[in-house]
Amino acid sequence: MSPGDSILDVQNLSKFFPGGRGTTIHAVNDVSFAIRPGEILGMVGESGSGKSTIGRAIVGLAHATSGQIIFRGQDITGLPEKKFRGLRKDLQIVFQDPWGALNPRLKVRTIVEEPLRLHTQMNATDRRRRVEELAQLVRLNAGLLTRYPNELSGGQLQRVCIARALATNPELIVLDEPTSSLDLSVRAGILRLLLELRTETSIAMLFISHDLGTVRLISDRIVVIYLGRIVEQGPTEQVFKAPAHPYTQALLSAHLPPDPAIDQGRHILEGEIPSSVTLPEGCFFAGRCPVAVEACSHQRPTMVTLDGDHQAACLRISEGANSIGDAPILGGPKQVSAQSNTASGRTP
Amino acid sequence: MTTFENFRVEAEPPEYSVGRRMIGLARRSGTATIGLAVVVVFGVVALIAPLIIPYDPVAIFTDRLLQPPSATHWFGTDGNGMDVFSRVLYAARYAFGVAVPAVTISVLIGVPLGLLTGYRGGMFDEVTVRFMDSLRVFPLIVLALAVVAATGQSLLNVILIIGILDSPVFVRLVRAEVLQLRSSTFVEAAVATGNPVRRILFVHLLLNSTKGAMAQVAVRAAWAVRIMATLAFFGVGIEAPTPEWGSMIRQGAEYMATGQWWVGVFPGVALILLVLGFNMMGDGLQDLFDPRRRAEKR
Repeated sequence: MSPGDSILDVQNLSKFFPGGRGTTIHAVNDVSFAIRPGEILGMVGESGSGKSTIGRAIVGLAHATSGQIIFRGQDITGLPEKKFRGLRKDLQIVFQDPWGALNPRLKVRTIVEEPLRLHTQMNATDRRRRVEELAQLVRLNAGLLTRYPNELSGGQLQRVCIARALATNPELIVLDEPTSSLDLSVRAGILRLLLELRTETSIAMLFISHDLGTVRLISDRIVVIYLGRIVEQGPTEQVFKAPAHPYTQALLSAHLPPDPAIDQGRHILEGEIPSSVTLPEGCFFAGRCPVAVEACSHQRPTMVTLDGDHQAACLRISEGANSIGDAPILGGPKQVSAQSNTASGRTP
Repeated sequence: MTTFENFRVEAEPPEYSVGRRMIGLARRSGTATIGLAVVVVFGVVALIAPLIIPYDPVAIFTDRLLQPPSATHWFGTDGNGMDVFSRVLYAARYAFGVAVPAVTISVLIGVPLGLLTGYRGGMFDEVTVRFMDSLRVFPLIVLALAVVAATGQSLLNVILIIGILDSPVFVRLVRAEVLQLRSSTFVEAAVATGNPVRRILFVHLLLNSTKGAMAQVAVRAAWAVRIMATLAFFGVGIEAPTPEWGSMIRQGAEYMATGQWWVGVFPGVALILLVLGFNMMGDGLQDLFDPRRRAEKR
């Protein structure tokens, strides 16, 4: 895909934080991906995998250590806030915590109206009309517009956040775990709203989540992140049907199928994510990978194209030995292994 | 269209009248209410003083020097033959006339500076905080005395100096709040929405960081009244025949030894009452605004 096709191009993005005592936390490591206009890109990974940092870097709330973020062909990496402000009308974000993301001293109407006030020349009447339109778009009772955030429920607050993000008709919205702090029943409502917005508007979205089911439901393509690094990306159905990277396979197998009768091999990953302070020399996943070989622990795998858009970064793909279903140690549900497979004490 | 969550819009909360609010305040903080009452009484006296005082506060009755309290002169007369009662009442005007604008100046300087230093951080913050700490090294009264003595005696100078010297209190309070709020999600959201710094400071942060500062207003007013009286006591600031508690106390002090107690005691009591009133009000307001503080007292 050429850069011209995409609305957002992230190239070799890295973000390091000082970790105290001279250490460095490598939150995001050399991440590249693109989002096409109107596309919903799902980004999955465990907590601490750097997903949110990527989202924050895209909207200019975190500054990239290296790499480039290109929005509509313009390099916006490290753009000073003054210049970035002009772009914010087209580049919005919805945060994970709807209780914290709204100024408690402003009425809902004022909050939703704010982007219009900042970015458009609309007069008060037009703004009022647009706010009501937005309330309807996010299925928020217009009576709630005169309330303060503390009078609303979590689901309602998240609708307010979405309405605010949609106000100026942006081209890209970063949704940073928009449903994970909500109750299950409320979550379904928000997801349905996002699905409907997808058909009603043509806004591209980066949907960040640790919940596979949610991501599968909503995304056109997905990116799987492990320790701040992309391990696999591709069209959602392709990735779900034929996950290539062992980590993706393990993630998917940990995800409960709708039909409990399906006999699926479950792969329980042992050990913890390695520290992002001292990164492993080779493949980041090697320490926990059931199919890792000697080479995996000192050679960084590069992205291998499987077919079309589907890519994964695993050394063993070329040998066709990347499937953890074939792994000798952790098998299906019937042969639960007692053998330890921890990050430290395992021999390939 | 599918129905989503079922929204129930509750009735608007009833608007409370001023009377009911006062009763509510009295229940929640007796201290604040008593303080407020004292301040209001003094405020009313200051407003209507010209109407209720029996004599001109600077009129000299040469035939009635140092008379003790009586039916004609309730608080007696002072060494110049002026009516102490009229002077004590009239002086309330100067107390408010200095305290209100001085605290307003402190707030107008302190709050924006606190917002800015707290939000911006870095060198600017560092320099401002160090400068304010260095101001604190001197006893403020000494500093105020020196500055008034140097800039000349006028009411305006006294107001400006008290206002400026006291503004660090508000800088510190607001800055501390902003430091906590700076990294909160709603401030990040405000940045992401595209708010200019000005609007982040004066809309988003201001609304959420001034509770503590507002509770301090009354306490600082007490301080302003005290400093003004102290300055006058030392003979700087407001000049002599002007009815002002501090200068009246000074004159009274001279007569104390010879038994003419009324010259100094009445203005002294007035000063104490007003300062106490402001302090109680401030104390009560802080309790109201800060539940943790309230809990500690129990």
